[in-house]
Amino acid sequence: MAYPKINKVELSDTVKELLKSKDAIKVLATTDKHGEVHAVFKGSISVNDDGNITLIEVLESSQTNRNLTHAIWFNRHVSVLLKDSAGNSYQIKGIPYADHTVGPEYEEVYRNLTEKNPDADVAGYWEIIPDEVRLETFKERLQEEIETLPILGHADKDFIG
Amino acid sequence: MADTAELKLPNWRNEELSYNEILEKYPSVSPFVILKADILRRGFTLTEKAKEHFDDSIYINAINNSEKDFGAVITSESKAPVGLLLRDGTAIGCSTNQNEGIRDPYVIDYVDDKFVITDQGEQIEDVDFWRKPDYYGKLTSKGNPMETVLTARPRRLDVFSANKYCNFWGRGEGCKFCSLGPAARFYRNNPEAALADPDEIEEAVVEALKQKGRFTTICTTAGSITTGDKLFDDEVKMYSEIYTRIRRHFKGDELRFQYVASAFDKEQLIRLKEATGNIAFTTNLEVPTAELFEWICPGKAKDVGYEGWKQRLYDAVEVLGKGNVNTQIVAGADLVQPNGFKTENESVEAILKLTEELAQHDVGVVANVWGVVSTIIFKNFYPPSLEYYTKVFSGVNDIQQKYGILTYFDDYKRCGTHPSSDLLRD
Ligand code: SF4
Repeated sequence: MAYPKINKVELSDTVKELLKSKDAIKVLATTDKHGEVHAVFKGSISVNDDGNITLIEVLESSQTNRNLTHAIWFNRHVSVLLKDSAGNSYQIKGIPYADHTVGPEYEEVYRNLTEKNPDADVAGYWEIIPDEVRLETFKERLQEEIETLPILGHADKDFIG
Repeated sequence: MADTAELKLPNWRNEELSYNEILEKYPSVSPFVILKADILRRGFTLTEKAKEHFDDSIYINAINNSEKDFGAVITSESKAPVGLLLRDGTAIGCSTNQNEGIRDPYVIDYVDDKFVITDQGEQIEDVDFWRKPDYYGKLTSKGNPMETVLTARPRRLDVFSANKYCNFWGRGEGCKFCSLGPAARFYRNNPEAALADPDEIEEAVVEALKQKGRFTTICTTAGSITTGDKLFDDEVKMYSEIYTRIRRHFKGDELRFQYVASAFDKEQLIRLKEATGNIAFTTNLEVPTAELFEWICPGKAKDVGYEGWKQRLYDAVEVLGKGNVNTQIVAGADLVQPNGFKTENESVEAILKLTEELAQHDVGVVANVWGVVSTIIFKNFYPPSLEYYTKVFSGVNDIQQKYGILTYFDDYKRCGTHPSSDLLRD
């Protein structure tokens, strides 16, 4: 069965706000069929009313579009990285649920984009179901590692001479 | 129903690998494309609940679609989608009667507020239907519904009734898998009446493209016209008459038009390109060997021949460029007896050998699932196993990718008829 085996997580309001923010830094990381990683800045990343991540892919032949296709076909994860102006960052993992290439929603996306840039096109309006969210801010991650894996790190940190 | 297949295979589930078994055996082939191939092979029906929720103000209903005039799709269902759309954008163009009754069809149900594809009660996938475009229901200046001259796929416009007659059929030499036979009998004494009105097509295209973001390309196919100063000249004239009109509404010299036509010679292709600006061209070899061509496509074999047809494909690449020319193989029709291959593997090998040979000349190949209806000469046969199709489609795609023949004009988005080129996206 091709149905994605996925335990959807609810995104917090903070993460949703960040996904919708025009000022946040947004990166999409995918892998190709050979496992090669590919990461791109993707300002169009957002969230829809169902709590799924959405993004616009403008180039049909791009590596990102190929990798997203590979991910939807074989239930592979993709990763979205977000960072706000205060330095807070999140990683959201998920599996593509749909590549919308037709229908009223798609046409709205197409109209909005081509009004701003008549040469642009919309190869796909992708929808990704999130199944993991991690706060990736350095301070939080450091504290988490110290608490859960105290063996890691250097001995001189607690050495008092 | 009037035109469904006649043969039944009651034990097919015991004799063939199932969809799930194929997914396990071929884990690197898209499950969506395999599902598409199986749906094309087995057909589908709708439960009463699905029919209730099939809203033909949103979706294209097969009975309103003029593809039926081309002889391919006729259904007596009052509500029948003309095509399906999967989550990944894969389009499946088939009516409910494609290969109907040969094997058990998939069943489309309506569960938890969505349409789902099921088989023996198991939910396989979510599914949507082909949406009705804004121009459907509008009338041409001659008072005809625009969808009778121009049909819509999810993302492509089709002029599929440009000529509902084929001279090969008129001579009793039509292709044996082709469903145009009844139309040929109808138009034999008045072939002119089978030609569409270019003005109406132009009006419909102009109206259709007002819907921003819906259509990527315009494709035309028609029955062969062998007449003219030289072979196929009148067919070239027909395409020119339609597309010089349409071209007036576009800027530039490279236009997103595709012709699925007879094997025009180089001079005709240059003439057509200059007149109409078409990017893409398809002319179909249909079967993988010269011997089968002579048996299955006698008219084409007599007028052009198998090697001649190949040469015209190579010439077309010189005119239009690599990636803009391809040919279709009707996978499975070459297994029909008494003259067809005796095993599925022989057919797979022959199709891949031909694909490799054509790839060396930069010609693309697309393969489809053969649809059997009772109006074709080969009506007493059936499309082969899902494993056969999985091998053909993935093998053809592997060769296309190896040689870098990226015939995007026939991919999942623009065409959607050929599972082999649906695999081009990965
Ligand atoms: S050339 Fe063959 S397939 Fe095409 S319309 Fe004529 S008979 Fe049918």
